Amino acid sequence: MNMIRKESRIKETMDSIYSIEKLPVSEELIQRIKSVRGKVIDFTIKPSVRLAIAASVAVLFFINYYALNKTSKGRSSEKSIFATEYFSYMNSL
Amino acid sequence: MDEQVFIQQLREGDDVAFEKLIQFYSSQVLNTSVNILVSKEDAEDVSQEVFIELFRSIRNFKGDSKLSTWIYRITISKSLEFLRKKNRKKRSGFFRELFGMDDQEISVPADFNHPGVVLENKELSAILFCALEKLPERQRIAFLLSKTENLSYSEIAEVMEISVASVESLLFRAKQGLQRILEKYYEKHYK
Repeated sequence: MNMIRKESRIKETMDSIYSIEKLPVSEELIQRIKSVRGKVIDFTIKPSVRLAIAASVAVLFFINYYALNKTSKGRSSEKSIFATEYFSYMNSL
Repeated sequence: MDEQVFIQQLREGDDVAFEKLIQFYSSQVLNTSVNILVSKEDAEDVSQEVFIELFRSIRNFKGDSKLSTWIYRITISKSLEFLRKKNRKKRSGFFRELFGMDDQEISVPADFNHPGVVLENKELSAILFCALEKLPERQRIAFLLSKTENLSYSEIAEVMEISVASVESLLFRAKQGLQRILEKYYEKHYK
């Protein structure tokens, strides 16, 4: 292959890149992409939702703390009444 | 529509905005992938992956580049990832290197089938794409973005996150590299 023909052939080969046509996007691919949209679950929680959850947890925590506190005081006073009554016979000794 | 408004709508999960995203950018994604992967089926699979990534990452997109630039980056990244996984399965590269076979030599497969190539250019395009495969990745990407996506040097620089001077250098070296590979090919096959 002579030099000129070779150079010409190389140029034609390089220029073939310009003849590539754009592929149309098939309706099937569009539907595949749209179906993926529905399946991608967004785990990001909005700030307002995060605040609401934090506030609810805080309220629950304090309610439980208050309830437990009150219950345990009640129980300890019950225990002391029980103990006093149980050992009351010793007073007469 | 103003792009910043559009991005904000996407971040808020607006369904209409997502429909528009698919409508405006699916062609860009598909055609960029096809030119890297040279297979319609592979390009369609990668396109789906690209949109999954877009849907997941849109909240983290800061809007400091154009939406199309960001989409190009994801498309190129996913396409190259796909190609690397596919090539890892091929063992021939290792043996060619081991036995010192010329890595710049191209062999055009008979089943070359770039879906965007018209029949009369099939032979030349097959040779060109095989030669492109021999180029370093960055040179190949710069070349494809310039010639098939018609991006300017500054747009390519944005996509590849390099300077314009680096783009010029990549394109110059890509052209030289292709020239060398094609010279060898035509010397061997067209004596």
